[in-house]
Formats: sequence, structure tokens, C-alpha cells
Amino acid sequence: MASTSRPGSGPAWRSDEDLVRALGAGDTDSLGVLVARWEQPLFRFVFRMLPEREEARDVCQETFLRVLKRANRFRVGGKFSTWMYQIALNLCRDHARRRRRWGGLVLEGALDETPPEGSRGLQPRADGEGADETLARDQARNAVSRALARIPTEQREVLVLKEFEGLKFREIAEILGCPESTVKSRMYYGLRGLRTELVRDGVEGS
Amino acid sequence: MACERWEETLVAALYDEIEPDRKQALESHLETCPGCRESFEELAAARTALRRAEPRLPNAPPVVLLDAPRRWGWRWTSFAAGFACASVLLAAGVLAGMRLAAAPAAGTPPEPTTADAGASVPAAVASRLDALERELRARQDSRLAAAVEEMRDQSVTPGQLDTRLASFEGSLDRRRREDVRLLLGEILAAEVRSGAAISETQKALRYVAAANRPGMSEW
Repeated sequence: MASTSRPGSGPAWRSDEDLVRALGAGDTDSLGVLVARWEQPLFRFVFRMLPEREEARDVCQETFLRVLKRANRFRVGGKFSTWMYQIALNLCRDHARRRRRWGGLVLEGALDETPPEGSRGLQPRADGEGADETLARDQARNAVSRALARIPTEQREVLVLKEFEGLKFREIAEILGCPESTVKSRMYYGLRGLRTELVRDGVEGS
Repeated sequence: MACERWEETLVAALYDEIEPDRKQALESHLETCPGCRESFEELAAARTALRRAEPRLPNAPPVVLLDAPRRWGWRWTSFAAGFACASVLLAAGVLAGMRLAAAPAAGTPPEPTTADAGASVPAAVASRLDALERELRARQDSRLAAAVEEMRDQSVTPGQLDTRLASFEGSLDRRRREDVRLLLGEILAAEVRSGAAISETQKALRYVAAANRPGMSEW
């Protein structure tokens, strides 16, 4: 897109915030750069919130569409990723509310990642992990997935944003629209709840 | 169980988002409070379990804007479609007119070849080419105008012009068919990417235009 631009001037070199402001001013090419930068992180986040891959895809597309439509309302001094996560989180909640499927956090990976028939657990992996380790890792993933699905939604949101998205407490507070102390409190009870569920499943020692 | 007033501080320390003085205070407290120490270890264990279960995620499906903004998408496609139709219709009309004008009347002997045909373009041919080129340039169709220009560079007789125009007409038709084929291919590709049946909707061209925007083809 900006192949002919000199470094530092093209859309690819501009900050997210510059791009979204340009988008708000009618420069629709900026959206392509924002999508290229954020579609993978956004999908990872949404996929952990919604149980269906197709549903997660719809939310991602809807998120970018809202970014496009509301770019001119982007707050001066705001951070694009925070704003984008806010939009995505609201859409996730809407989807969940509509379909009443909030409980199923997906941590297993998608069905299309299932190894070919006959390869699962029979061959040592290239990284040296054997069948037993692979099985144990899969069991751990399942256990954590179940445990996460059982804790309250507001705690789960904080856990995903913090642990998987690596956001600061301050950023999570801004996304959720609550005080930072509330975020930390939810994190505390979320981790404790997770631990309790894992112990109950016999995955973690008491 | 941790002391309630230290819960948030424990979490802040766990993620290393804690002020130095607050961290020192926590360390002092942990030395004397087994409940908070145990709680801190449990939080760390839960965090480790969570990290160990880092999910495998599928690749993000491509993003396709299903509702591209009208201000550029629709205008672009309207212009492109209108221009393409106008060009094809104009070319067909002009060529048909030229062929009719060039056709010898029944019973009339064929137009004699000019003696100096090899030296310059005959006046009758030149004026027809001028008219055609003016029309095409007025429509800003540089591709067609260039083709006419190419014919002008060679010495032709009216008979040869007929042949070339027929050939030119055929090539135009082939190009048109190729353009349509590419367009349908783009619509099909957009359908595959978006998962929506769009080929029969009025939005089809908007989708194609969105998919063809620079940097958007990979969405």
C-alpha cells in the first residue's frame, strides 16, 4: 500500500492513533494498515471470549467495521488498542447475551488444528515432546478451559485481557470502564477461583 | 486466605506492576503473615497453570468489510462500471458506423487503391481515424485511442481499414469477455473470503471494489 512512500511517511510507519485519525478524516487506506496490524491479536482475544470460530470471525469483522464508522469519534489522546478492545468486548457481550453461550470459553484451539488421523500421540513431536507429555498438556488445557468457564464472566474477562493479551491493569481498567482497584480485585478472585476449580479437578495439588 | 487489604497488592506484585515502596511494605508484611504468603503462592500457581495451558489458536480468518463505506466504495464502482459500459458501447457504436460507412454500395466497384498508398494515409481514411480518435479521447479511453493511433502510423487503404477495424472489434470483444471473466472471478473470490452469497446482490460490485483496494486484497 505504501510501497512507494519513503520510510517514516507512509501509513505502515504511522502510529495506530495517527491512522485512526486519518481514517476519521476519510483516508480509508489507513484501515488496511490497522487491520493488518491488529487482526491476529484481535482474533486471539475474541476467540478466547466466544466459543465458535465463525462467531469470533464475525465479531472481528464487526469490530473493524465499527472502527471505520466511528473513527471520527476517536478520542484525542486515547489509545487505539484500548478503544478497539472496548468495541470488541462489547460485541462479545452482545453476542453472548443473544446466544446465551457465554459459558464456553475456548482454550482448546480449533477443530481444524486436529492432527491428521494416526499422528496424534503416536509419534514423538519434533521438539522432543513425547506422547505422554502431549497427552498431559492436552489434559491441562482441557482442565484450565473448564475451570475458566466456571468462574464469573467479569473475572474471566480480566484474566484473558491480563494473562493472554498482556495488558496493564491500567489499560484493562480503561477498557472495562472501572477503577484499577476493581480490576485487581477481579484478578485476585479470578485466579483464586481458577485455582480452586483446578484443585477440584485434581489437576493442581491442594 | 490473604488479608483483605493486601489482596490487590498481591496481584500487583504478581504481575510486577507495583510501586517500589508498596513492594517493600508487602515484603515486610509477607514475613509476618502466613495467610498472605500462602495466598501469594496460590495465585502464582494458578497463573502458572494458566500459562501452561496457553491455547492453540487457529489462524485468524481473513477480514472482509461487508459494508464498505458508500462515500468511496460505491462512487468508485459506479464510476468504473459506468465508464466500462460507456466505453464498450461507444466503441461498438463507432465501429459499427465506420463499417457501414466504409462498406461499398451494391454494384459499386471496389474503391481503387491509391497510387501513393505506401507513402501516406489516404485523406478519407485519415479523417475517419481522426473522428474515431476524437470520440475516444473525449471519453478518455486511452487504451482505444492508442489502438487507433497505432493504425494511423501505418499506411492503410479503406479496405485494409475495414479488415483492421473488424479485427480491432474482435479484440475489443475478447478484452470485454476477459474483463467480465476477471470480474466474476473477483466476485467469486470475495464470496469465498466473506462466506456470503453476494453475486446476485446489488452490493456485488462494492464488495469487489473493497477487495481490490490496495492493501485490502489479503483481508
